[in-house]
Amino acid sequence: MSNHRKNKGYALFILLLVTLLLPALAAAQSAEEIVRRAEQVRGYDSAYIEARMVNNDRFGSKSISYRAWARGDNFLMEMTSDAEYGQKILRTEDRVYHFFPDSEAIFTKSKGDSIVGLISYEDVTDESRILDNYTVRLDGEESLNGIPCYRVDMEVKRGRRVAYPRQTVWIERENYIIRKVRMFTRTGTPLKTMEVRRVEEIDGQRIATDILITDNVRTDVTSEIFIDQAELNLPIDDRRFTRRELSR
Amino acid sequence: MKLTTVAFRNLWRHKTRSLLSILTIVIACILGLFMLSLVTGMKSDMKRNILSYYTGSIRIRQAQFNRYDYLNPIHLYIHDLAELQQKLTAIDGITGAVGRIQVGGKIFSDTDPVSGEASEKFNAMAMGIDFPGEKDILKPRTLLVKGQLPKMGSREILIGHGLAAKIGVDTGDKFSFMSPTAARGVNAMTFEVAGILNSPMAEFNSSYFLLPLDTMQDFVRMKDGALELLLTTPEPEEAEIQLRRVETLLAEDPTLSSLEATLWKDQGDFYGMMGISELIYNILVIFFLLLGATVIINTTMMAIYERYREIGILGAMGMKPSELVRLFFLEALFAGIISAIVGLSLGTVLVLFLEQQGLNFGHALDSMNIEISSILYPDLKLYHVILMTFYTIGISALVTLIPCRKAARIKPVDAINAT
Repeated sequence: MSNHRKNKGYALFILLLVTLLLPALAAAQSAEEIVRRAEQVRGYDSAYIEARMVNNDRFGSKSISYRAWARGDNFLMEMTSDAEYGQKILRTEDRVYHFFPDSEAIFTKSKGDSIVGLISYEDVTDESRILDNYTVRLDGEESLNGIPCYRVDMEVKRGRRVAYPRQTVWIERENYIIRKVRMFTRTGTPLKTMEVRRVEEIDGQRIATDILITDNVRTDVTSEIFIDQAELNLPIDDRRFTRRELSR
Repeated sequence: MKLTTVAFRNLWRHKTRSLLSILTIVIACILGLFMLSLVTGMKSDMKRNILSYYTGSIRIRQAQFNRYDYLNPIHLYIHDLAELQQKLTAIDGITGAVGRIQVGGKIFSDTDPVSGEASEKFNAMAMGIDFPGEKDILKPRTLLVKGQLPKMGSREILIGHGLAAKIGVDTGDKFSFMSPTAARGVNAMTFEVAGILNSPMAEFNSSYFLLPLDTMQDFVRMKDGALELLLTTPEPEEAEIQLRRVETLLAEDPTLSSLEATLWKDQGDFYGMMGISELIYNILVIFFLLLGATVIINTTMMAIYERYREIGILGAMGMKPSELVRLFFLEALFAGIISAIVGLSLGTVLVLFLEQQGLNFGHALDSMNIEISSILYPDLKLYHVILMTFYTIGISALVTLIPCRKAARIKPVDAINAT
């Protein structure tokens, strides 16, 4: 074989390889873009909400009402229901603290620990950027209750500590609203599923105000989060997100 | 000469051999007496612990709590405790009624003095009790080894010495405890150690702390309620009568119909198993004695072969085969009687000593969730002695009938001619 023919063969092979890999590369970019746009939809600098966490099991319903402030990666929750009145949960510098008025100690909690039923600290306090912690991959498109959605697989980046190492997210194709999230263990065992049942427009932003959480094992238990009131992009004092403020 | 006299003399013809046979039976007899008194001791210890720590004579809980107790549904509690206590103590034969709340949770110790952050976690059980009301049931004062009893309404606690050592606290120290509440949420509270307790129950020492019932009600959001109500009766063995009266009261009052009363004997499966254990121990004792008796069979066989010609001569002189059997039987009977006298005397001394000293199982029972003390005291009863006398003498004598049949079949001519 002459050198010329040999070089031509290499060029053809590389062209074929690029042709085959190009859609995949494009899809990877596209998954990041989808997630970035989904975060933009969720994007607000700060927020104040009044909400409820409800757990339903064989013994009935348990509701915890709370108010919360969020800014950047910081989150503070103050429980207002009678039995939990005065309890506070603070997430700052990627750590979660739980304060009880009857206790002199402040408790450090794991993000995956449960607050009530299937709702974990991570579920209500996580304000971090998805792309900071996860690598994403577009897994296809799927219709969710008649709504066309992108299905994006997320896997935790090396060295990052998160409550759910693997997740699949369904993002509405038309407006990039996250409609459903399924959480998995590192080995791929399904943990639970969060489903957005209602989205409302508040201060020009579309916010999920009714979320259902189901368990893949305990099928008789469901949890719900209802956001009753929200204010976005309001000024919040930095001191609110400090441990010192917890016991005040 | 009487056959009994001959038999007794024959027993000492080979003193060492006879003494060894007797020693074997003596050891089996001591072991048997110890085992029977130990199982009786265990049973009465378990009864005492169930009555004090778990149920009283009768325990009342929400029926649904009993059904789902594996889920720890503490929201299913008894409401209006004081009113119910009043109704129950009015029943004839009920001498007391105390409420208790028991919850599992985590102790957080090593609180950082600057940040207030609690780090180390230990699993523990908290039990809210009415300290004055428990003076005849749990008897907290008798458990106290250091410090003082917590004051009602305070956040003072009495902690098991094992748990105190594990989390590194002493009287005057504080720790925080987090647990589920009756409102189906979570709460945490900081407590101060008022006293250290030492209970016969290993699990109690290693995992429990006691706090005032009213503080516990506040902590777990169980206002005026309790998880269970323990009733006392003059004679727990006969508490069935009071149980029926309590059940009638609960059934007749619609506000109380969700409650369920349980007799102390029905608590757990382990106490019921103790009855079977007693039977198993009896079988084991018989087995040990039979094992010991094989030495007597062996000794008798050897005696028969050694006295082969003598047996022939006795037969030739007119001794009937049945009399020969009786001769050897009486020899074994005497050995059995001597073994019983020595074995029971030594066994009684040993068991009475252990009744005083106790057998310390130390940490072996720490993690076992059974109603048994870590120090067990054998409980010697008269019937143990009577039973062991019967077993020892009866078994040693009866087993000789096997070799004795051999002696009865010996023909005098063959025996005399034997070299």
